[in-house]
Amino acid sequence: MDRNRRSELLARANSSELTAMAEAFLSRRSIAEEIQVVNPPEVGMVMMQVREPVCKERFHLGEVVVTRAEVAVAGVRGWAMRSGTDRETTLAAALLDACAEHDVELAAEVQALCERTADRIAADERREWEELRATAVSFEELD
Amino acid sequence: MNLAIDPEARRMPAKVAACRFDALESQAIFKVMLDTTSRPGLILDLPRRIVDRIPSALAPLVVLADVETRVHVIDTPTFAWSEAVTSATGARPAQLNKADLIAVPADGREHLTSIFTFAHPGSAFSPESGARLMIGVNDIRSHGTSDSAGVELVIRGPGVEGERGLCIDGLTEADVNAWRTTNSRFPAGIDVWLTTEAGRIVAIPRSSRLDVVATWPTQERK
Repeated sequence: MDRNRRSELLARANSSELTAMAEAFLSRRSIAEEIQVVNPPEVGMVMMQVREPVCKERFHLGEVVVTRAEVAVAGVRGWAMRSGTDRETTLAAALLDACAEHDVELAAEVQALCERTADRIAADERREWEELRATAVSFEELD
Repeated sequence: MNLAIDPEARRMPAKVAACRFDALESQAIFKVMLDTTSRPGLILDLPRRIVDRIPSALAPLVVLADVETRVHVIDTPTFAWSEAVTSATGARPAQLNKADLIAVPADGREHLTSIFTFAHPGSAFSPESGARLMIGVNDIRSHGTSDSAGVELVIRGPGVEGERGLCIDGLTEADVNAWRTTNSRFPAGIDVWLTTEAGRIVAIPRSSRLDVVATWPTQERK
C-alpha cells in the first residue's frame, strides 16, 4: 500500500478506531518520547477538484472544510487531512501515518486498519449501488 | 477526547512557527510583492519583523504557498528550511522542474544558471503554471558604482517608463542569459523576485526585457 493510498484511507477511517490505535501507539515509550507535533490540528478550507467523466478534465467544485495536522516520530514526518472539524482524530491519523513510516511493525497494524477501512468503504458503495440500481437508466452511445 | 501527548511535544518547532504568518503579515508581504511586480526593477523593503524572523528569500514563497502548490527550496549546510516551509504551508515538495515556487538562498546560488534553465516556464496555453523564483543575492542597487560586483541590467517593458537600471551583486551574465532564454517564449516564462539579507526586494516578471550593460568580477558566492 503506497503512502497516497494510506493517506486516503486514514482520511476516511472510523474515528474511534483511529484514536484507539493512536492511544495504543502512544502507550509505547519509543513513540511517546519521540513524538513532536509539527503542526497542531487546524481547520481550514480547501478547493475540491472533481474530474468530469466526459472529457476527463478537472474542475473546481467548491471549497470544503478540512482539518490537517502533521507530527514527527523520531524525525519521521506524518501528515493527515480529514474532512470536517475533528481535530484529535486528524492528529491521530497523522500520528499513525508517521508511525507507519517509522516502524515496520506498526506499519502492519496501520495497514490492517486501512484494509478494514477499504473493505467498509467498498461494502458501503456496493450497498448504495444496490439501492440505486433499480432507478438506473442505460443509454446507447452513438459514435 | 484528547490524545495523551506531552504538552511540550505539542509545541511547534521554531522554524515552522517562524514560517507561519498572520493575516496582516501576509498582506504586508503580498502588498510589497504586488508593488514590485507592477514596477519591475523598483527596489522596496520587506517588513522588518519578517526579515528578522526568516531568510528574506523565503518570505514571498511562504506567502504564495499552500496545499495546492509544489515548492522546491534549495537547502544548504547553513540554510535548511525546506521541511519547515512545507510543514507550515502544507505545500508539497517537488523536483525543481515541477515546482510552482522555488527559493534559492544567498549561499545556494552555485547552480543558479541550471535553475534558470530547468525552472518550469509553463506554456502559451497555461502561462499561469510558470514557476516563481525567489533568489537571495548579496546586494541590489539601482545603479553601478566603483565597488560594484555582479551585473548591471537595464529593464524595459510593462511597468517601466522608458528603462530602469538595476545592479545586482550575486548574479552572473551566464545566469541572466539562461533566464532570458527561459523567458523567450512569452507568455510562458518565470517570474523572479530578488532579495537581500537586509530585506531589499525587487521583482522582474516574465514580461520584462533584460539587457546586461556591464559586468564586474563576481564576488565570492556566499
